[in-house]
Amino acid sequence: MNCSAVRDVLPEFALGVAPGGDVSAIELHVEQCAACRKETLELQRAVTAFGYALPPVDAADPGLELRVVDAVRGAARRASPTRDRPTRSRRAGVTLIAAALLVATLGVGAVMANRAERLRLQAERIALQNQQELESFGDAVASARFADPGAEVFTGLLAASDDASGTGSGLTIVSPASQDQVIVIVHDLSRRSAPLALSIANARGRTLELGAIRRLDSAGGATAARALDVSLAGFIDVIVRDARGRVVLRGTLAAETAVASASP
Amino acid sequence: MEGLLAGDDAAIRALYARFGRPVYTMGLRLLGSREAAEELTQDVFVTAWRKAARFDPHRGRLSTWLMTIAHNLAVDRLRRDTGVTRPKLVLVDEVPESAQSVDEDLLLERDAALRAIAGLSDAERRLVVRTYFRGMTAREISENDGIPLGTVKTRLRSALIKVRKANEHKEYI
Repeated sequence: MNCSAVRDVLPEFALGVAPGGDVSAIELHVEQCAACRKETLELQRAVTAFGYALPPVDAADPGLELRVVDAVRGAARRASPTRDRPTRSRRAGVTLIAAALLVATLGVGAVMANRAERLRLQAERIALQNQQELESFGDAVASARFADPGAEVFTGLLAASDDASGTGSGLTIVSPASQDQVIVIVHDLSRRSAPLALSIANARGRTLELGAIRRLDSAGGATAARALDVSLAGFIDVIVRDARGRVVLRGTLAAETAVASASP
Repeated sequence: MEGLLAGDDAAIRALYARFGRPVYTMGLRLLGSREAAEELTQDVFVTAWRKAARFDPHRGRLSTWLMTIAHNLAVDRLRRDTGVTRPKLVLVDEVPESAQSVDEDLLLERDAALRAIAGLSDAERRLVVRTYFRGMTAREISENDGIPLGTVKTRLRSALIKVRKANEHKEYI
C-alpha cells in the first residue's frame, strides 16, 4: 500500500474497524513511513478520547486487580526462560525453526536433482514430502513447546487448486507469551507463478497478509517464516496466490495434539 | 515499563491503578456484561505486557497506547460475537457513574475528551457510536444506511480531525 491508500483507511484503522485484509499492510507501511506513522498516532489519540469520555464505573469484583496481576505475572513467568531480550529471542526462535524445516525441504530437492526421474517419481515424492514435512513439523512443534509450554500449534497440508501441480504445508504457533509465528512450505509449483502472496484467514473472513515468496527453487519449492505482532489465534485458512492473484495452494490447519519426540 | 516487562507486582498494580477502571469501563460499554469486561481487562494487561518492549514514549502517550490495545481487543471480541449473540449496547445512562474518587489525571483526560466530543455534529457522533462502540466498518454503515462509502469515510475522518484539534496542546498522561 502507498501513502494515499493507507491514508484513505487510517481513520478506520485508528478506530479498530479497518477491513481485515488491510490491517497487516497498514501496519507494515506505518512502521516504515514517518509521516503516516505521525498521522496514525494523532488519529489514535483522537479515538482514545471516546474511551476516556465514558463515565467511569466501579469494577464489580474487587478481586479483578489480583487476577490481572496474576495473569501478567503468570505470563511473565512462563516466558522467563527465553525472554531476556524479548524481540531478539523470538526472532531467533523463528530462524531456528525455519532453518530446521529448510533442511528437510532441501533434502527433498536433492532427491529430485535428476530431472529425468521427475515424472516417474512424482507420486512417491509428493507422499514423501508430505511425510517429511509432517515429521519436521513434529520437531518444530516439540521445540516450540519446549521453549514456550503455553504455545498452541496448528499444522496442515496445502493442496493445489483443481488439477494444477503443487503441494505445501503450513504451521502456526500461537503463543500467550511471545510473538506468534507462521511457516509455509511449498513444492512443485511452476517457477513462473512467483512471486507468491501468502495470507491466512480466520472463520470471520479476516485475512492477514503474511508476505511474499519472491522466487522458487529449481523444484518449484520455497520456505517462508514470519513472526507477527498480531495474534494468529483462530487463523487457520492458509492461502497461496500466484503473481496474477489466483489461488494456487490452499489448506486448513488443525490443532497439533500428538508429538512423537518429547524434547528438542 | 521495565517493571511491567519483568512481571513485577508493583509495576502491574501501578498500571492497573491508573488505567484499570477506564479499560474496564470501555469494555463494559462495548461488550455489555461485567464478566466480559473483566475478561477483557485481564487480556488488555497481559497484551500490554507482551507488547511493552515495543512501547516508545517518544512516539506516543501511555494512555493512548493502552486504550488503543483495549479498544482493538474489545472490537475483535465484539465482531467475533457478531451474528451469534451480539451483546446489547449498554448506553451511557444505564450504568451509574462511580461514586468513588477517580485519579486526577483521568479526570482531566475525561474532561478534555468530553469537550472534544462536544464539537461533533449529530451525524458524526452517530458514526462514532457505530464504529467505536459497535465495531461496525465504514462499508457496513454505508450498506446499512444507503450512504455512499466515500461519504461515510469523509465524515469519520472529519470527526477524528475535530477531536484531534480539540485535543491539541493537551498533555496529561
